[in-house]
Amino acid sequence: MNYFKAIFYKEWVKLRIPVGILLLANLAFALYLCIKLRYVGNFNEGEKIWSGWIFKAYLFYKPYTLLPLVSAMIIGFLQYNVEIQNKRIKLVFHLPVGEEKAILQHQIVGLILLCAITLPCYLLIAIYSSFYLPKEFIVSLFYTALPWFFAAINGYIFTELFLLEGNKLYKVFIALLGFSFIRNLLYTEFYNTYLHLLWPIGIITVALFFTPLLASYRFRKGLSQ
Amino acid sequence: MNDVITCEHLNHSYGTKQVLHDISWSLPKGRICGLLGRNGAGKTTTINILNSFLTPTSGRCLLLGEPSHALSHKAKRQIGYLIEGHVQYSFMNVHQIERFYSKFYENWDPKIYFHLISKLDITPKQKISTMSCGQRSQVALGLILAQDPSLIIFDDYSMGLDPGYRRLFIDVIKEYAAADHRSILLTSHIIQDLENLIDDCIIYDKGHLIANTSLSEFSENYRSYSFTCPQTIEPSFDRTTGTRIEKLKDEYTISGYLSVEEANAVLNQKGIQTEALKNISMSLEDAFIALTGKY
Repeated sequence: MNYFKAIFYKEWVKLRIPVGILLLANLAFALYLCIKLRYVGNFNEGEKIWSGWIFKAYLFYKPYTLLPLVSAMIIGFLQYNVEIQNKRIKLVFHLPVGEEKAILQHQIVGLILLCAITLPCYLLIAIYSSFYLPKEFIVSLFYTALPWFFAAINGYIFTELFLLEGNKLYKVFIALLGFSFIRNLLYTEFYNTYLHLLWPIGIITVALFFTPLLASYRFRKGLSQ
Repeated sequence: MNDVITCEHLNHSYGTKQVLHDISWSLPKGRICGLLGRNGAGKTTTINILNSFLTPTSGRCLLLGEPSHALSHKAKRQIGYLIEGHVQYSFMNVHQIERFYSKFYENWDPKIYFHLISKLDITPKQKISTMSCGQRSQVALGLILAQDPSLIIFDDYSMGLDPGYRRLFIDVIKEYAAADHRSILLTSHIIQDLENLIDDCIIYDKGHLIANTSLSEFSENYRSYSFTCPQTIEPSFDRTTGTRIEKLKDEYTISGYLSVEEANAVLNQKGIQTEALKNISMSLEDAFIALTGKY
């Protein structure tokens, strides 16, 4: 039996409208940035754009830093707030799936929806950039924006953790930890700022992906009150 | 396996407050059992332990022969569970929610579900969040019955339901349980509804088990007598025998599994001199209140 399809279906019914709105908002903003680049490209010579990028770290897509993070936290909130109201998450735990598997599948659905919202925007920015800038710039765009994407994933995970955790003291700890960690992923003052930290950030993100299992375990055992 | 639910020496505390005291009972296969008690008696705590939402401080529960905290997928498919308040996915409509749940249960029978849904005055795309409490209860009940479970646990099925929907709920449960000797454990505060529904009753009082018997035995044997007495008597309750002495305006009552002679003997033992005891005719609700006491 394909339980993942059923869980995806449920989450899709729950989130399709917010996902649609967030996708449109993200695409609109990405398009705005592309139009800004076109404006700069039309009124300045090529070497001026290069000079701005290399010497002044003019990252025209930098305004897009926070939008994936905000979108991820909205998705996380809308996805899990419904589940904790009236302890509705008991319905998930009662399914013949396995509690851990059910939670992980919900998270995977959330991440898929997050990718569906943000990756088209990165792609749009990358493709439009290629009309004005060389391939090295596109590669640099990828390495520069990847920490923002990790920040979005972690924003989703910490939002989920915050909602699933019943103990108020733990919630405060989760909020502080999430804020501290995510903030440190967004200090992009120059291109490729986090180039040498991408692997550690990726590994930490993967490890954090499994932490909501602890919150759900604590809920199931009545330890989160 | 004759017992579908077994609780053995359950103890549970929230912090320093103990809420379950050495609870042991079982639900035989094919019986409908009411888990009764006043607010705060420990019913929902027991239900949460049975559904693995709580780990007891000590003791264990078995459902369909398996430990409640480690049920296999096969066992979970055979257990239907109604959360208090008929909680469901209210952002879905009746078709979407049926499509979701049908993927998890091999024996899913949509006919039962849609038969119940057809009785509701709703539009096909109406979200569950816009339905009345009674309509939501039927959706929740239909989803459970469509699973074809051999054991159903209803946590306060009657919450928020008007008499019509309560009666519909009971009629459906009775018909379903009789059809294939299914086992049902339910809790409710509407005791009068249970007189024609449950086979057995388990009654809690402040976390203690004070009755575990068939409904007929409880109704026939638990009696209440009124009497007057010139002396002032302190109300008392003997948990082991279920004998309660209470003051009721100008007279007193003694309730228990007692004949008239036995009731007189209990009073004499306490040094209470009284005139003839008058037998009080009681409904199930009266007997329940007599056993568990008034607030």
